Amino acid sequence: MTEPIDFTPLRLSDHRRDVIVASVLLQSGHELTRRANGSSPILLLGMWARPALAAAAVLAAVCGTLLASSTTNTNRMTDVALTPGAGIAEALGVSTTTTALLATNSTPSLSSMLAVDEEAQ
Amino acid sequence: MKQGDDVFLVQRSLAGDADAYSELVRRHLSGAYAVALSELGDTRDAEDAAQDSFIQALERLEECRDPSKFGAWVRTIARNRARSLGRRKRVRQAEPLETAYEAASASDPSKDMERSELRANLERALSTLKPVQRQVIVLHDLEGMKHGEIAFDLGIPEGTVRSHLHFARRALRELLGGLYRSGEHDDRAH
Repeated sequence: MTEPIDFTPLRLSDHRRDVIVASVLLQSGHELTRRANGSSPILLLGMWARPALAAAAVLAAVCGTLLASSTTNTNRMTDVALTPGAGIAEALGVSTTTTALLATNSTPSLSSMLAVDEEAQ
Repeated sequence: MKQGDDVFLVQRSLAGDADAYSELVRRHLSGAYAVALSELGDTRDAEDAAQDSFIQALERLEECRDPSKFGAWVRTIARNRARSLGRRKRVRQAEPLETAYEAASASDPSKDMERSELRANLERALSTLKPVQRQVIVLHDLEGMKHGEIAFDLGIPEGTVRSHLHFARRALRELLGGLYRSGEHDDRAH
């Protein structure tokens, strides 16, 4: 194996080392302060508040979309039910004979029951 | 956990202890610098990359899963920073070597000059090596890392590390010998 190369001129001098360490600490001052204060209750709350607010915003957006789509469906159903000339019984799919029986509040005879059955078929 | 070991220092740094982080930086600066130098081949750029990597390391300290391996973790950051800096450097115009680099040095100016010259020669010689050869020789001969550690860091077999080291040393010796001889020739000519 060949002898090592003397890289002494490339080594960091003590002076350069001190300069770099000081510079790192100077530029990291804000981060160190943030970390030192990180245990205060207000900052802890602040740390939780941001993700919680973000989650709430996403949840609100999803719920809003679902609500909007369900409202549209309900309106569509209401539109069908409120077609001009259509009664409640018609909207519910109840035959006219049954509706007439219900309106008179009388006991259905055999013939009227057969008529309802035929109408249903 | 002993007071003064990396795990303790990382935990203190997480709590914002400036003295603890200062000690961590002091302890692992040469490693990060060597990695950056092995990537960039330029001492000033390597210093910048090493400095940036420690600033970034503090911001991402929670990501250091194994605080006992803080040194290896910060070396990875330094390597990435150096690569990023290298890409940007290739884009911008290269600046002339040795400007006022040692102006702030408190040592003897004549020694500084001599050191600057040697450093410039070494940097020039290093820049001619293949990137992997430069990485291996700087990490081994400058930082004193073992073959196995370098192999792990670079993700290559240990035998390949030895081979690269051998050829890098031989190439540097030839280059540096040539540079010194040409310097003597220039002196005689003047």
